[in-house]
Amino acid sequence: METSKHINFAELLARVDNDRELVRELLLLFKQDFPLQLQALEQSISQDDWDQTVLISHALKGMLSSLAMNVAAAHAAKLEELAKAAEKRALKSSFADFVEKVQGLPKEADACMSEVQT
Amino acid sequence: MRILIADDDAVSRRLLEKTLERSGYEVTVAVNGKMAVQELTKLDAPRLALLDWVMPELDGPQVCRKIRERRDQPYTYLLLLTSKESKEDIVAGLESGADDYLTKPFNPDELRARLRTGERVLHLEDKLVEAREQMRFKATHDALTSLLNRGVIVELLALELSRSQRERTSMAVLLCDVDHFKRVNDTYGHKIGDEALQEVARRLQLSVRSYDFVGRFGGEEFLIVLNNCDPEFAPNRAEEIRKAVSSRVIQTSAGPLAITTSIGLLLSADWRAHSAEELLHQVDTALYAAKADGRNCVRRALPAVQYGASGVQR
Repeated sequence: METSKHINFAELLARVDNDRELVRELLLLFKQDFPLQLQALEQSISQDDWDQTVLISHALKGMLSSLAMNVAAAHAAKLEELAKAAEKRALKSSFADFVEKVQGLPKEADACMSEVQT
Repeated sequence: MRILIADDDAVSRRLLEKTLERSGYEVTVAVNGKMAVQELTKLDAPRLALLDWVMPELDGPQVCRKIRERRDQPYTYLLLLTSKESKEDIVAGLESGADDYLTKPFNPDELRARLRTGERVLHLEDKLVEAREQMRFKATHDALTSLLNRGVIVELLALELSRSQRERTSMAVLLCDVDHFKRVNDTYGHKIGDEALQEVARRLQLSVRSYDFVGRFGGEEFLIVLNNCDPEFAPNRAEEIRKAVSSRVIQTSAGPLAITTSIGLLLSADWRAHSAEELLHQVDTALYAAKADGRNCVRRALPAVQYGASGVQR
């Protein structure tokens, strides 16, 4: 699992004091929450609601970094910066990249959850 | 120890909650800043708090400001969680009243170490408050009897006199003196005398209501202020207080002692618009009359124009 593309599993385990049950619980929360946040982010960008976009991308950054999904977290941080600067065109393009990058995350989360159960 | 976590992100919140529970903390959770303020301003609120910087309703620094606005409340140690790393942000966070900050994603060992620092600060604060309260008590109370000391009871007498005049209520002042106390000291020594005074003080305190005042006026004299006391019932109240001291012998380490008190009584209704000093002078006159009348009795001070030059009703 240490070789996972998006999740640094060793870092995640260290963060939870090696509590595998907690890893499972957190990934389950992620699977419930992440699609909703992504949807809310898409909506706020389409409505040019910069404040909301900053808030959601910031929350996503926190969630992703807590789960050691570092590449995705860095991308969320970029979205936050672009929203703060109200860079409309760059933000839309960056969001499209982000969506593509995080597509595989739920599946990896599933794999991780199976791993910690064994 | 109890701790509050305020974070709108479910993953961060659960991660913090579990990490802290594992470290022995009793965790309360808030999902936004407004809820955090509500939790932290409750009676018996947690005194350690971990606040996410960016939250709906109120952000972390706004929560800090709200908490620091309160005065005379136990100190709350506030730690901001932030993914903001610029010096300006950190300065702004600390300026808002936070005690410390921690960068997200947090390292569990660093989090625990920083919270231990917070606990040490709270412990020191508690010790300071305790020391201040002890000093305040010592400055306002008599060391032997733990009753209010002379300065404080006289000050309260003046305040209550003003209040009774302003609100047109009645108050009663009692000056009590332990009878033949010198004889107790001479016969049994000062240690036994002190034991007797402590018990007299305890009985006097128990014989009044919670909003009345009892103080050691000096030596074996005690001053009692009965607030909002109906003049009709005041003489009976004074009698009850006298009996509270004399009805049972006082057990001392030298054996049982029969102790009585003489009491001077004065009702503010009889002396409206006079100063505390004048009241004290009049009640002392009444006490002197009680002594002259054989002790172990109550004598009431009354206006001289009505009751003759002595100013005492027998």
